[in-house]
Amino acid sequence: MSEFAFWMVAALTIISAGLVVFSGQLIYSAVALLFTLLGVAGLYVFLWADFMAGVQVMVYIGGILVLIVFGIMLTHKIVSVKISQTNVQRRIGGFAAGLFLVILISAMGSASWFMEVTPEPVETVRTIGILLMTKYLLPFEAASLLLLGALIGAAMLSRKEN
Amino acid sequence: MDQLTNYLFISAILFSLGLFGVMTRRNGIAVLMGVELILNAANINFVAFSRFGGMDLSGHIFFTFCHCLSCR
Repeated sequence: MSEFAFWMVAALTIISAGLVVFSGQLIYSAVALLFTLLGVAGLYVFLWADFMAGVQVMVYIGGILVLIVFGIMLTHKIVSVKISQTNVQRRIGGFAAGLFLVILISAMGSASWFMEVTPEPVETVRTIGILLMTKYLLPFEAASLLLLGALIGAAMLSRKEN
Repeated sequence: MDQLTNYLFISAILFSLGLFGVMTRRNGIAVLMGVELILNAANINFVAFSRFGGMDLSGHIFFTFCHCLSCR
């Protein structure tokens, strides 16, 4: 049963990712991206990463996807309902991406992976918090500095010139 | 579902689709969507290796930073 659910989630992810890439209208791509991100959140649940699934839903769907939809609606004329967009260089791009996929899958199939199923973590959030504050404190601070830089940069860009 | 290669397979397909989107789309927002697909593929790999690699939750930390930077 859970095997079936896993493959359904995987199919949802991949089919809607295909729609994101191949759809002719930008707003359809955005809606398909919603289902891709939901499917990826479902995959995190199968990977015992419950906190990550929640973050995926809140940050990606609630933040980035809304930002993308805002971008679509603000950069085009609202009156033109059909926001079409075309693909260029389909043949070269498809060939390169397909070649990359074949190389990846053949490498994955031939590699002998170190497989060790770790026991199911009891409290992921607590462990992540402790890791962030001890082992990964320096990257954490660097990320906060980067966010501060982005904040100041956005304020500078949107400021009125005098 | 308890196989590492299943997750790697899904993530490889997602990455290739995103790569195709980045290479062929002309609209900037559509290119951004392709980049999102690529980042999601990388995040699936991080979390999958964190579960099957026999280590602690470091993959989740990488996922958090990846999120934090992709929002910019």
